[in-house]
Amino acid sequence: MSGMITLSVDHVSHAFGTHKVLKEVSLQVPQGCITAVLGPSGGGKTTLLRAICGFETPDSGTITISGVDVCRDGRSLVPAEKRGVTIVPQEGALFPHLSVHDNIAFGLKHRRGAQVAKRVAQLLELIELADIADERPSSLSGGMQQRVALARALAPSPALVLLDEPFSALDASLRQSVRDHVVETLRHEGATTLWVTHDQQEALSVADQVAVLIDGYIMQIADPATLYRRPASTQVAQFVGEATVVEATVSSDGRTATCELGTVTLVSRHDAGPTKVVVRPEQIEILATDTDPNSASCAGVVQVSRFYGHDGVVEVRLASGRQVSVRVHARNLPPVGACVDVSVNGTVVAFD
Amino acid sequence: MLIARRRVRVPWPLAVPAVAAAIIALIPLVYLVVEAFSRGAANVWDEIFQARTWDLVRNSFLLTAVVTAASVVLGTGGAWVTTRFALPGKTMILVLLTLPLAIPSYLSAFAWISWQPQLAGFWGAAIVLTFACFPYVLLPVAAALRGLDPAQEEVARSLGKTPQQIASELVLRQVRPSITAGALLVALYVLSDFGAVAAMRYETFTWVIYGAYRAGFNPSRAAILSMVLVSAAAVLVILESRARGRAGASRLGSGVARVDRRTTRVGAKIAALGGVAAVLGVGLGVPVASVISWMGRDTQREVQWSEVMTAVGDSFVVGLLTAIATVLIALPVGIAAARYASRFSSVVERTTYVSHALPGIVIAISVVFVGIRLLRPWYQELPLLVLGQVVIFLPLAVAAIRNSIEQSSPRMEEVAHSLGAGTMATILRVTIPLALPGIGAAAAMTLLNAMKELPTTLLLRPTGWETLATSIWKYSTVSDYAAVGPYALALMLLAALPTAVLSGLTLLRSQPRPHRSITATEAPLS
Repeated sequence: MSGMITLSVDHVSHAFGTHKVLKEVSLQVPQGCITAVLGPSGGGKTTLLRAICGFETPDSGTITISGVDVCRDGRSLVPAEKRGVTIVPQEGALFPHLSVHDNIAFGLKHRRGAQVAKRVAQLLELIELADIADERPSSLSGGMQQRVALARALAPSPALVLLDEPFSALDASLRQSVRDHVVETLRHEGATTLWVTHDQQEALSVADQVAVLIDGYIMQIADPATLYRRPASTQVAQFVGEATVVEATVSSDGRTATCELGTVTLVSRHDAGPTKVVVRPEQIEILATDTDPNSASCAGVVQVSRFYGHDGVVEVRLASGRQVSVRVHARNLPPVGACVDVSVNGTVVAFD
Repeated sequence: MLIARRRVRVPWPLAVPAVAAAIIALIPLVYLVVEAFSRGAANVWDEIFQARTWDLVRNSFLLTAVVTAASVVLGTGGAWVTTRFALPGKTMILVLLTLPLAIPSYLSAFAWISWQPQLAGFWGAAIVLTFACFPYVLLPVAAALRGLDPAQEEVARSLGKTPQQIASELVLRQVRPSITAGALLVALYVLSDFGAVAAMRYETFTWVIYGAYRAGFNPSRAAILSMVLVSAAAVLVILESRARGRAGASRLGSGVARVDRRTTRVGAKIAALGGVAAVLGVGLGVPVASVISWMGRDTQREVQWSEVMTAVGDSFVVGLLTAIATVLIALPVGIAAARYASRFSSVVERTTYVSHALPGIVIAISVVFVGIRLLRPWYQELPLLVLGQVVIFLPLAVAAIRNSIEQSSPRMEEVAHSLGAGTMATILRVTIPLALPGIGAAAAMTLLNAMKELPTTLLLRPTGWETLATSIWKYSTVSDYAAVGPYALALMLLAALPTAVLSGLTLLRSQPRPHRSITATEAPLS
């Protein structure tokens, strides 16, 4: 990450009628890095993106692109076509009346000439579709269409590229390979990218930083590892990956806490006393299976046992009645009804 | 996901020509008011409350009611038979049944009169108009029936309903909005038709208006009668747009209907095919046979093929110029209405629909009025004829262009903006190319209808010009049918046949879901 800030969103709010979609959203996107905006549908992601593009003017706040304010306090100062922000929409939205070549050349200043031919050829090579320049978009597969849409957005070397749930229309088997390809292309071009998605796995795997947008609020902005290990709230923890929130009591030294899963180590010091801790399914380990239900080592009873092939997940009902998810190796998948003893590995985050 | 919203201000390169289009569309209305009140308001009341005016109201109303009722019966029956009976070549039959739509009403009226002169009058007009109009009911109802999921009826059967109960409680109830919409189109057509009633010498508003204008002694009477007619037509247009709105809302999702595997008894099949043959015989056979018999009537006389070819050329030039002008004028209105929804664009769009309620004869007279007063050098020249035709076909072109633009995603235009294309560049490079098939269809439809159009051409054609329509009129009114033959044949081949093919294609394309552009692309004025 370099220090230059390409996009700055400053206290932006927007409402449709009485329904507030964006609430004091602030966000900075450094030059040359991929920032993911992660949130559930209806959380305001699309509105934020449309405001940055210039298709929507937010009610208040300022959006700055490459040092120029493009909108401020409910007024649009720079129209969409002059912002230097290109977009890869959900369904690609390739122009069906133009060839792949002409789609990619659409945003270039001149439409003909050696410069154009060179740039288009370069991008076609980058997306590994050099031989389909004269095809019509309708003859391309969904994954190819998305790659062409990306090339079209990158062609004018924009200040910022926006990807709006770019793979939601692709089937799961295709998604991974197209995603890898797109990330590689973006890195190669050094493009500054804002990537909107509701898929937490996608956000964690592609982005340099992730902004979590829920109910119009930015809940946390962090790099993927920090976001997963040190979520800012139980809500973020539960949205980014699976998580179980359990009551715990922090010991007097503030470094450990005891809960119904046993004693856990805190990621950072916390005030002594009652608290809540977030435990990930892969942190819980099953120590023993088929213990005597009446013995002290029986932490809970297996309610559901799901086999996924490489691993599995069991739902364990604890003595208190709380149910927790535990990820286990497929070899050790306990049967439904088994009494198990559990412990927690690694560090956990405590919340007030 | 949120619906795309655009700043609601229409950019001026669209707004200025759109306002110009609205002004053109308003010419007839302005003329009517000015001319009607030229002898004072008292005169208006005197004219309206004449006994003779009420005779006209009664005649027009009677004809409209009878033709509409008959068209609903024929159209719904035809749609029912062609969609729900296991007949061979159902789609082909359906397309054949829409063919009468393509024969100008004045031509079939003359065909009937030359064969059965005693039919002249009410019954002749009623027969000709019914067979010219029933496809307006047939098309939307057939589309709606095709869109129904057979599973609905299977469920009803399993719940103990008899086929008769299903037909009346389930099926007819669901296609009722389509029947209503079609019936209103028919009523509007009958009210504004000039050719058939004139040929049949049945005194309705349009014919008497033409007479009052032609006699030349009382233009304000013509204008006042026109106002009464326009008011009636306006009521129908409002009813029609309401019915259409409801029809749209009552439609179900686009779930793919399963293939209908119902069987039909042999007796019912024979009866159905017999009915279809009878309808085709009356609607299509009589006019075609008449035209062919005219050709062979006077073997002594040489057919003046050079004159026929000149008429073909004149018709084509008028039609082509009209199509180009209409589409160019309709484009900014259609784009503004489809992409910049605001009070301004909806007022402009609705203004261009005003002439939808104006019979061709009224538009023709008002363009003459404007031509004499404001565009004297153009009077009895080509530009004025084209202007008159543009006013007639503008509503259809605007509706068709608006529909075709709305079918493409506004996302495309947003992407173009983000790639640096400004408002006009986006319209020229993305919006218009994407809508090109629809725009082309609008142009083709206008071309074909303009070639069939009679009253405006009759009043506004340049001196010395004879199009196919005016030639047919000229010879038919003096019963010189042998001379009409070649012109009629040429018109049927040149305009009528492609029109029918186009509407057939529209029907086929609409198969999975009924589509409102079926009625919007057909000219209700002839």
